[in-house]
Amino acid sequence: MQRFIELLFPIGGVDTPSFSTVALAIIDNPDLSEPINNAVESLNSAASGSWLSTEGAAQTETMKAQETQPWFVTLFIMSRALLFDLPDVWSVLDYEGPSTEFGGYKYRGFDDIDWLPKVDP
Amino acid sequence: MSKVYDLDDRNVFVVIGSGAGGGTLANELAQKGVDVVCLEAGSRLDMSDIVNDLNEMDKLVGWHDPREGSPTWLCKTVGGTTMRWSAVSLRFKNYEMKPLTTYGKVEGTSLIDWPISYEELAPFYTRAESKMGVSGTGDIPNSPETNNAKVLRAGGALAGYRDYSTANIAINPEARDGRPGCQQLAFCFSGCAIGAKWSTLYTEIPKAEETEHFELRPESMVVRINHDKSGQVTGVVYLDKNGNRQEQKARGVAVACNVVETTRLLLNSDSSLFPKGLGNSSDQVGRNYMKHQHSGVAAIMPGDVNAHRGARQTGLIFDEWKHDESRGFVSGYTIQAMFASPGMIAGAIGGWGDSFAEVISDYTKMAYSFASCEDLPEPGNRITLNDRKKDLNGLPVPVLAYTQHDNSKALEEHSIAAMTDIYKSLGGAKITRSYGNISTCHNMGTARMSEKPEDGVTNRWGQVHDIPNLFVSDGGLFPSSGAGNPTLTIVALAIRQAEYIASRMSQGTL
Repeated sequence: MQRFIELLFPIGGVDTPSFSTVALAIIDNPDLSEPINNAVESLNSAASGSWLSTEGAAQTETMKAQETQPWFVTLFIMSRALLFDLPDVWSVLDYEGPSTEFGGYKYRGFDDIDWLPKVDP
Repeated sequence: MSKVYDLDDRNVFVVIGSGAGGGTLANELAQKGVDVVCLEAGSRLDMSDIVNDLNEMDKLVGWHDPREGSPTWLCKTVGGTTMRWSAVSLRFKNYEMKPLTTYGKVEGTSLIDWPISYEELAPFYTRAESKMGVSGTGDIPNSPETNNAKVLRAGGALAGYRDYSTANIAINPEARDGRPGCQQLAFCFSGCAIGAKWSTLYTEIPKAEETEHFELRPESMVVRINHDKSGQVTGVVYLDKNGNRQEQKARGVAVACNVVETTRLLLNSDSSLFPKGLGNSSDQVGRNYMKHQHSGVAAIMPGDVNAHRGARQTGLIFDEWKHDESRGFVSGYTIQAMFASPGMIAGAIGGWGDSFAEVISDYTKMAYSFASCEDLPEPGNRITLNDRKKDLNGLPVPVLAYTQHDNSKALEEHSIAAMTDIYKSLGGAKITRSYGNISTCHNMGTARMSEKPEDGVTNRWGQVHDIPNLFVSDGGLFPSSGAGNPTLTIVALAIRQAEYIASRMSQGTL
C-alpha cells in the first residue's frame, strides 16, 4: 500500500513516514478492505507475480493500466485526501495552513504579489 | 428568546430547511409577524465549532446520507450550504431569464423562459445584496484583491479581457451589520470562523428568533408532507433528534431543502390524490436538473503567488458572460479566480504520478481559476428515487442522473482556452486543464417555475401549481441556470416570496 501511494504522489521532499502514515490509515479502515484486496490481486496479476518485485517504472505502468478500476479510484481519492491533510506535507509545499489564530492573512501577505506587470486599469 | 410552538398549532407556517432560501424566507416571514417553525435536518453549530479544517468541518456540516449518481457537495446543518459557499453573489442577466426566447429551441433541452422578468426581480436583488452585504453594491466597497485575483486581472488584461471585478462577494470588506470585516482567513469553504461571510446561521436565524415569531428545530428530518382531501397541505412529519416521528400541523409549507432533498420529499409524499408525488401532476418534479459546468485551469507562474492566502474567490472576469453564437454555443460563462488548500487543489487539478507531482510541488507559484458555464435543462437530467434501496431513515435513496449537453462541452472548450491564454500571457507554464468538472454545489431546476403548469412545478411565486399552500424556496425554482452562482437569486426570490405569502395571509386567502 505504501509503495502504491508513493508512486501516486512522488512529490520531492515528502518523506517515508508521511506515506506510511497514510498507508496505515487506509489499511486500518475496514471500509477499504475490499478495494485493498482488489488492489493486491489486480496488481500482482498484472505483474504476473509480485508487483512489488518489479522495477519502479514497471510498477507505474502496471498502475496506469488499472487506473480506471473502481478499487484504484477509491484508494487514489482516499490516499490523496489523507496525504494532503498532513502538516509535514504542507511544509514541503510551503502551505501555511490554519490562519484564524494568526489573525488571517490580512496582514500576512494575502495581496503582496510583486512581479506582475503593470496593466492599464 | 425563541418561541416554542405546539405541534397541533395549525396557524404556523412551516419552512423546511434553514439555508439561503429557507433561512431567508423564515426570517422575512417572521419579521412580518407570521408564526414560523423552521425544521432543519442538521444540527446547529456555535461559532466556536468552526475550525480551519475542511475535512473536520465536512464531518460536522456535510450531507453524507447516501445518494447515487452525479455527486453533490452540500450541507446538512443550520445554515445549509451557506456555511460552505464561496459567497460569490451574481444577478441573472436579463437574457438568461428568457433563454427560450434568446437561444431558441436547442436540441435535447427543455428550455422555457422564466415566468417573471428581470425587472420584476431587480428590486429584490437590491434588497438581497443589502441583506447579505454584497461588496460593490449600494455603499459597500469592493472586496480587497487577493494575489490570485491580481494574477487573473493582469493576465486577463494582457489576453484582452477588461470586464474584471472584485465586487459581488457576500463577505464584509469592513465591519457591517454586526459582523466583522474579512481577515482573509482563507477557509471560506470550511465556514467563516469570524462570521464575515454571510451565512444564515448567524444572520437570518438569530434575527428571526428576535422577532418571537420563530422557532428553529434542528436535527429534525422531514420525511413526508401531509395533505387533506382537497389537496391542501396540513402538516409535515419529521424524525426528531431522538428518531421519533412527530407531526407539525401547518397552514402552509415551504420546501427549501436544496434540490436533492426537496425532490425526494415531494416524490416521497405521494398519495392517492398525488400518485406521482406531491405537486407532480406535470411529471416535472426532479426533472430539468441543472449543475454549472466548472471547467478549471491551473498554471505555474514565474513568481510566487501564494494563492492560498486570502478569501477563496475574489476576482471575476465577465467579458465572456454574454450570448454570442459566433463562439459556437449559446449563452456564456464567468471566469472566477479560486484557490484552496493542497488537498482541494490536488482534487481540482486531478491526475497522479510524476506529471501531477511536478505541478503540485510548485504550489506556492500556482494560480487557478474556473469558469462557471450556463447549463441548459434537459428532461432526462433528473433526480428520482431508488425504491429498492433505503437509507438509515428508511427513505429511498435519491438517484441523480446527469449528463453533459454538447453546449456545455463547447462552453468548456472555449473557457479552458480562455483561461489558458490568461495564464500564458503572464508566462504561466505546466498548465493543467480540468475537463468534465461538473459543479457539485450548484444544483438547480428540479421544481422549476413555469407559466404553464404542464411545463414545471411552481408558478411565478414559487407556489406549487397543484397546491396553493405549498411552496418551494430553493434553487429548484430556477427554469434556467444562468452562468452566475445561484445563491443571490435564491435569496432574492425568497424575499419576494415572503411578501407574497404574508400578503395572501393578511387577505385570508392562505
